[in-house]
Amino acid sequence: MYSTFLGLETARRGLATARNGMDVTGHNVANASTTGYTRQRADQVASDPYTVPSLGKPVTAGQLGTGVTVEQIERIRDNFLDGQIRTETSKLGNWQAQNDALSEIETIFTEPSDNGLSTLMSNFFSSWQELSKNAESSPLRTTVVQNAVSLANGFKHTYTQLETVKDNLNQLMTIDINDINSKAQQIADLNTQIVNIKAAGDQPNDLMDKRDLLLDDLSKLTNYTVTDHGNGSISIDIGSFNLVDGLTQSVGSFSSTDLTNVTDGALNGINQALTKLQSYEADLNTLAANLIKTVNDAHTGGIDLNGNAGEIFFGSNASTASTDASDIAVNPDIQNDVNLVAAADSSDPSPGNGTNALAIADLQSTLISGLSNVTFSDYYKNLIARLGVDSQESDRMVSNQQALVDQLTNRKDSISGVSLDEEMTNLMQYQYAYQGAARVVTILDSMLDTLINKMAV
Amino acid sequence: MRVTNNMISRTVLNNLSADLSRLQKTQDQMSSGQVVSRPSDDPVVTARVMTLDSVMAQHDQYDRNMNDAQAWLETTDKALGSLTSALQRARTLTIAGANDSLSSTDRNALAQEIDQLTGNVVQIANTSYANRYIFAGTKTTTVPFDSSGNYVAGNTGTLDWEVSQGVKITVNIDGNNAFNPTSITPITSDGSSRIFNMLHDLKAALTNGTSADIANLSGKILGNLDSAIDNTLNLRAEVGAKSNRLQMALNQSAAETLNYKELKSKLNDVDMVKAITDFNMQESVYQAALNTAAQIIQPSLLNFLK
Repeated sequence: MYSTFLGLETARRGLATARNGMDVTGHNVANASTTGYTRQRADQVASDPYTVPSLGKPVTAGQLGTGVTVEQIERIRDNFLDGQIRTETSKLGNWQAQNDALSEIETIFTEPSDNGLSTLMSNFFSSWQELSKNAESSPLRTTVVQNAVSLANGFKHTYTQLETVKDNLNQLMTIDINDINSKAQQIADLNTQIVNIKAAGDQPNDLMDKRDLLLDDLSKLTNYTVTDHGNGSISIDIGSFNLVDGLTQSVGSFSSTDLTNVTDGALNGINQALTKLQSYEADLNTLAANLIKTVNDAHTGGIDLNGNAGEIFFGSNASTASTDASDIAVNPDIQNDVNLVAAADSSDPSPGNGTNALAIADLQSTLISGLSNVTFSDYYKNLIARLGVDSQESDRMVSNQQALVDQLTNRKDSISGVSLDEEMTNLMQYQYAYQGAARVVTILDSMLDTLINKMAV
Repeated sequence: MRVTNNMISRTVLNNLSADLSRLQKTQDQMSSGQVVSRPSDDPVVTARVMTLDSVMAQHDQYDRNMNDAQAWLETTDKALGSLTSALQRARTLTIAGANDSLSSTDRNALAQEIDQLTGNVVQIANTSYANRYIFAGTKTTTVPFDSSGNYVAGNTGTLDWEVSQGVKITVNIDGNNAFNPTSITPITSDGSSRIFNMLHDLKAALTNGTSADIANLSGKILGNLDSAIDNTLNLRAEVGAKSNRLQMALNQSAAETLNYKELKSKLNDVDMVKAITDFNMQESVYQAALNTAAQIIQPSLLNFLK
């Protein structure tokens, strides 16, 4: 024989479970647009049945159900998808960082346009051509010097701006490294909390969401591998560098010397962008150095308007030649006295002789051995084309990766995201379940009322 | 597939921003008039446009050089033309002077005119163009001939201007060439350039008027004058030929420039008709996307529950 009040207990469980389900639904609805939130579900199971302990079971047949209970509140999440998303996000971060840097570098070179280095070089050589026809002309000499100053400033400006981008990238790298370390610390803290809560037999769903969100964010910065220790704790390794130890919850301090372990993510992108930037800068310097050298050689071989041998043309003074784009300048002596422009060649120091000016103008179409036998403008054009191809590739990769990440995120959302329609349906379901269970209580109440109060004893 | 509200809003947002960035790109092209505004838009076109730009800049420079050369040659031609007239006038006077029946007074009058002519020829020899003496070799800043026709400040330097890559043209005729032709053999050498020396001989012969002088007038002096005229005409022919050559090169260059411009325009100019059509299409796509977005994001079951 079982208790008179078993039905009441069963109904109470129904009420509690419906309330529980409604609470979970409410939580889902409230977090419908929370980043990193995973929808939760109250897993209902029938509670253990009651077997009436009597010999031969004369009164009732079989086991009697005892209602419903919520076994656990589950996070609906596909861990495999998480791994995929993080791998692709790392790649996206990598290309995005490169794309940002390369776009900025493209802006610095301002090509193709009427005010890039290409035009400045054309103007410089053109003014030598003009001078070759009218070597005695002071205005034309001034034009040559002014165009040379513009060219030198153009080189220097480009160089300085590239240096600024380099500084910014290095700074960005430091920020990202700090970010990684701070995230590692947060993950270790969450590890401890999750382990404790799990040990108490509960599901720390929202803490795990937080940790997963941190892992998602971390994947933008770098590649890493996650090891699950089964007790709720995870370890994180970047290549061979142990960032978070899931057993001791100790956090390794990641620094720029550990960058060799990074093969993806924004950190790697910044690193790659730095390498590319350095190669462009090296090319710019090679171009400037060769321009300085060939023009200086030609200029010192000529004769100025005073009949003296030409001074060096690009230099900080008459005896110190400029070396590359970082310090290119027109010799101040020549800037102060345009008569020092050596337009004549050594065979004839007459004022009308523009042979040397023409020789310098002709450098424009000379194949320069220091530039692997191409002309100045071709060398520069190759540099721009290389930059263009690099930047275009990063552009394309960003949009490809973005599409991939979007698609994967949609799949994740399809599984883990909150659907308001669904939650509303669930809400109604729980409401009716609650009403039903309440009705059972009412009926049992009236039955017991009959039994206890209405029967005359 | 289970569709959630976040998915819808993300997809809508992504599509809208993709539409908008396409619109911006087209708008960018329409306002700049150029297809390529940064190297990554199209590295190949960028490289070609840059090549065309530098080639065109060089071309323009050569065009300027050729135009300047033509102006210089024209001035030279005019100077040589005046020299020819002066020499021809001297020839006429020589023939008149060689007439036995002329009195010494008449010959003196002729000598006076030769004197004037000589002054005229000195002026021609010191012709300047844009403040540069054209018969001074490379010493263009100093007056090449003194009043008696000595080539005091000029040299035999050449002004070589580049008119296309690697092709130089000598635009000047130095004073030695123009006024000191070796085909003239002066009677009494006085150190001045031969044409002047010859004019000095002519004046002396007319002034002195001995029978030997008169014989010289119709003989050696007339011969020298013919040589001088020949030399000047030869030089003029040379100048004319150069000028013609430049004119031809200029015409050709104009055609080439047009070709380059056309090529660059084909590569980098926006086809406005296409751009506007694209823009309108993208705009209507964008508006359609906005409309559907407004309708799809709004409702959920919530709107229909009481």
